[in-house]
Amino acid sequence: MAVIMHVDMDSFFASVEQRDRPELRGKPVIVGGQRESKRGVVSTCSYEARKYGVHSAMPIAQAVRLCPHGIFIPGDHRKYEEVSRSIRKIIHEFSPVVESISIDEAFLDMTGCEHLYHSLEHMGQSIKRRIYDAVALTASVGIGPNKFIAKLASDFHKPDGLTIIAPEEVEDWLAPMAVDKIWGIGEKTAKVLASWQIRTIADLRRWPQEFLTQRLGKQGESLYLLARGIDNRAVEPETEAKSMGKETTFAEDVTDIGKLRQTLANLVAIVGIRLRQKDLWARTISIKLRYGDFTTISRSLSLPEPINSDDGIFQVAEALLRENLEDLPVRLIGIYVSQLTAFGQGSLFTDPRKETLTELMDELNTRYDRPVISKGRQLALPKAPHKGKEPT
Amino acid sequence: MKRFADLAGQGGLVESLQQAIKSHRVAHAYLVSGEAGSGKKTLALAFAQALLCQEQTATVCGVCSNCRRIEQGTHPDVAVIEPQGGRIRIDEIRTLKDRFALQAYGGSWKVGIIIDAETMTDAAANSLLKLLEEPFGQAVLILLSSSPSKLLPTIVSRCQVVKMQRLSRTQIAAYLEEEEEIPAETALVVAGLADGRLGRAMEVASPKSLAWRERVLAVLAHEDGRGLEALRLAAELDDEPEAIEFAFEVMGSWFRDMLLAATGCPQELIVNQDYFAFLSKEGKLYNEHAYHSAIYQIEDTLRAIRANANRRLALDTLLYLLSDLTSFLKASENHKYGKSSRS
Amino acid sequence: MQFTGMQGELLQCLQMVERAVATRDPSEELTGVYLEWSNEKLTVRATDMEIGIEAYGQVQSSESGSAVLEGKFFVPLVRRLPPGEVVVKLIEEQQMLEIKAGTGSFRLQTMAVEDFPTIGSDTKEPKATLPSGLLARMIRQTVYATRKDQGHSAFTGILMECSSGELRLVATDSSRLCFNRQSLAGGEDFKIIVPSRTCTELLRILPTDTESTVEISLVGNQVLFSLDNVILISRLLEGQYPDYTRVIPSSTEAEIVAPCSDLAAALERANLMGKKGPAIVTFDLEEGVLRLQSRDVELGESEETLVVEQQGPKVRSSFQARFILEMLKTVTSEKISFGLSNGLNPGIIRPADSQDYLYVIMPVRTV
Repeated sequence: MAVIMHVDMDSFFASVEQRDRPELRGKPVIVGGQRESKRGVVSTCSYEARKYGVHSAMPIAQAVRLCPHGIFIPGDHRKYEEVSRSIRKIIHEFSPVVESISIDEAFLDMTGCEHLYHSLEHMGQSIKRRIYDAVALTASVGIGPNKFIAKLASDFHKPDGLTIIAPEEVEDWLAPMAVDKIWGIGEKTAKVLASWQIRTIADLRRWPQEFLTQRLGKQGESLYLLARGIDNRAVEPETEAKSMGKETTFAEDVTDIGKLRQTLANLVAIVGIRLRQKDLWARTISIKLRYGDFTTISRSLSLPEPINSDDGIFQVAEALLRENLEDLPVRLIGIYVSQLTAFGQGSLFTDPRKETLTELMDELNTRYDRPVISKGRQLALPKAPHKGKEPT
Repeated sequence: MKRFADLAGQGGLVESLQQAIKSHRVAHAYLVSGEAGSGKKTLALAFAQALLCQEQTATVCGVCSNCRRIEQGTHPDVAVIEPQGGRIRIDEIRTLKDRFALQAYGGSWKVGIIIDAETMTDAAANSLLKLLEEPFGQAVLILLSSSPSKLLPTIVSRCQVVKMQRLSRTQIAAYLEEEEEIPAETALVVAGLADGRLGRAMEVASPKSLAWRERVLAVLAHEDGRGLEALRLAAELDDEPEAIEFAFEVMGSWFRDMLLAATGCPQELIVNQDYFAFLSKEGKLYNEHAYHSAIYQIEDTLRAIRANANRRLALDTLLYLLSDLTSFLKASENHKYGKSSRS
Repeated sequence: MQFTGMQGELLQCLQMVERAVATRDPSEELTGVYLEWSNEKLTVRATDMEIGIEAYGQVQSSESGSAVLEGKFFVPLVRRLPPGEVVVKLIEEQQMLEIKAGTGSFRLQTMAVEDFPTIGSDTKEPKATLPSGLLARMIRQTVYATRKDQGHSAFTGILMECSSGELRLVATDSSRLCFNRQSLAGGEDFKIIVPSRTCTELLRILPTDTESTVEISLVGNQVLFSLDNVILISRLLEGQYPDYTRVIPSSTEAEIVAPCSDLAAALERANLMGKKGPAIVTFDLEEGVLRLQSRDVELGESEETLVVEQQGPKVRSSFQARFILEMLKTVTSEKISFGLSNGLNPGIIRPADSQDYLYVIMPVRTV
């Protein structure tokens, strides 16, 4: 039988802030934006804030109404990344098969490793302690026979919880739970189910598979199995993303090369920041072009050493554009990076000041969750007559 | 076609290029514009030779190994790129870049000549642009084009533009006589047909072109109507369509000459000098209107052939008409002027 | 018009020039090998206008002559001839070359001889003269760091620089840099960038015995390497070589001395931990113990320790294992010195007993 462990950091961003600023401890801390922010949403809030009904993904303005005396913080993603990295390192010491779902959550396949501990309890406590010792933050841990149960278990006692569900306990443990605890059941599906008087997992179990499949399709099939505590999804170790990319379709076909370059620069900036946030480097850069007549080409170039700077990526992408643009007008342009590696070879001849500048730009752009700083090439220039071809 | 002297009549142009070499002010890139056959390639190769000639006098000795290799197209420092299947593609430009990455073999200049530069694909043109922006060492790029307006403006703006001059007929004739050892009379005829373009003159001076001219004039320059001869010529032209344009030029020139002769103009304006005696005698037989209509007929037919008309039919009709037109006009004119017709 | 020589000697000459034969040539003449014989001397020459090689051998000839033969056929033929005497005769009126060896007789069509380019120069004045084995070693200790991609930059070649009484060879692909120097008596100043292909060809013809010397001269825009029995001329790369002195650090935080073979063996094992990409090895140095770690998400991980002589504080830095291995393979000394700094500062490797061969290597950033 498989042994799966789910580790979930407790109100991660807020806890990091409370750890570093003792004056925030015991107070409702809401990370995501300034109090005045009109567009921001809550990314995490402390347990103190949850008592007021604040939860993540809620608009900041609403959180202010619910919790007027809350402490609103924009958040320092670079710091959270750093902490997350340290936690990931520890998690990797426990199992070679780790699936990171987000900055503060991971599944570990502990099958076979459980014998190294006196008990599952001991195993769960060990990882909690190692994490606390290293970063002074608490995690909630769930252990079960599959990912579904492990995740539900980690959520069962929060914060600082440890819940272990043995295979034979699964059915009884699940029975009274609300159906919307099941991963993938949103408000909409929950309403549909409620219309059939299905509110708990026990209710769900009473319906035959055919009924669920007929009405809910593929989801119905998985609901049938999950209601019985069956989940065959494997823990997928960090098969780091194989590629990333971004493309855009123009509202009107573009005939100006200058405009294409500028769009490309913007796309590069988006992909570049994503790469750097994940600490990845890319060896292959590709561009995709779709012309007015819908013919589509993509062209790529592989480099001797991986890169992740906007400048480096743009240089390659621009050369690809320049050497492969066959025709105008262009309808869609895209940039892709692949052959991703988790290391970046340093260069003897780059200016270290440039790297610092990139880091600073990334930080600002991440903090405000939109580009606040950009490079000259990303800006629309006054229409330059020498950019396109003259009519002949 | 290998010396600056060959560019008789491009005097000012040649001089300024030579001056550039002497004063070490050679531009990174030139754009030579001029009609097809105006001698652009000749100028480019001669410039390359002048740059690399071992005599180092900014002229072309024509005998040193550099001059000879450039002429043969085997000089390692001179790359000539021309359209393959109508276009110049990026691979061609890449090859050029590969060759420019090394220092010159001979120790001085590297020259890249791009023939019909307007046929570059967008990708090729953009790749070339990079080379123009960041030139490799002591290198000159020479772009040749008969329609420079089709080039990327960003390319044109990085080139020094050189316009080929039209040459006078006597300049071309003199050159043909001196350099190519063509008899004076033929040289003058060829120069007339070339219409100021030296490169064109070289093509016209080829034995093949001259033979075609003889075939055409054999039909036209006779007192008798030569209907059968005309149809035979039409068949030959139909078999060798690449000769059609030239044959039509010859026909056009012939009736222009007749027209000129009819108005009694000076001899030097006549293209077909070798038929001057015939022209001055026969030309006066008809009125201007007849020649004009013949010329229109020739132009119309050429247009139709270019527009994919039934080639054989068009050629048959035109040539028969022209050969017949002669006798027809003659008859009618004779009648008009009361002269007796010749049998 | 004929000469008599030994198959072995003829083949040796041909093998030296073989790689300079043009594979493509619009005028075809450069796809040939040029032969010239007079008195006792045979000259064999080939060039593709990027590099040219001329080799000399001993033959007996009564009357001098010359011929150009299609390289693709002539060289394989001589290679397959039986050892012993070969008689080569030019039959001018038929433009054929007759080759007799053992009981065999072969006739090959010759190519036009007039326009085959000459190489070298009678008026060369050597800029530097040094033992050929030394130059070969200096090239071997730099050429591997040249850039391998199809770019056109100066990084694809080796910088050869002679000034203030020493010859310096430098190569870099911007991830690492090789620096090699040798003091030289009577050298003249020069600074050239030699294509890496030329250097590889040089390694094939440079004898490693201690007696022979090689002269380096500049002929026009080209570099000429002359030995007793062979010369090689090559075109040079365009462009400015970057200021390499700027990137050689004057010191590092810590330094270790370790047996070259032990470190290489450990790195060979660590280097296996790279399934899709290159293996990254982390150097963890503390109190005379060097811990080498590498890990591949899909494969697994490796860790081993070496006891080393250490100076300086504890440091940690990660490198591509392959880059270090490539360098260690060219070291002839028993021990190497490895200067390391924390973070993204470059390391320096050199033979422990020499300051003349330096290898500057940039670490990698890892998570």
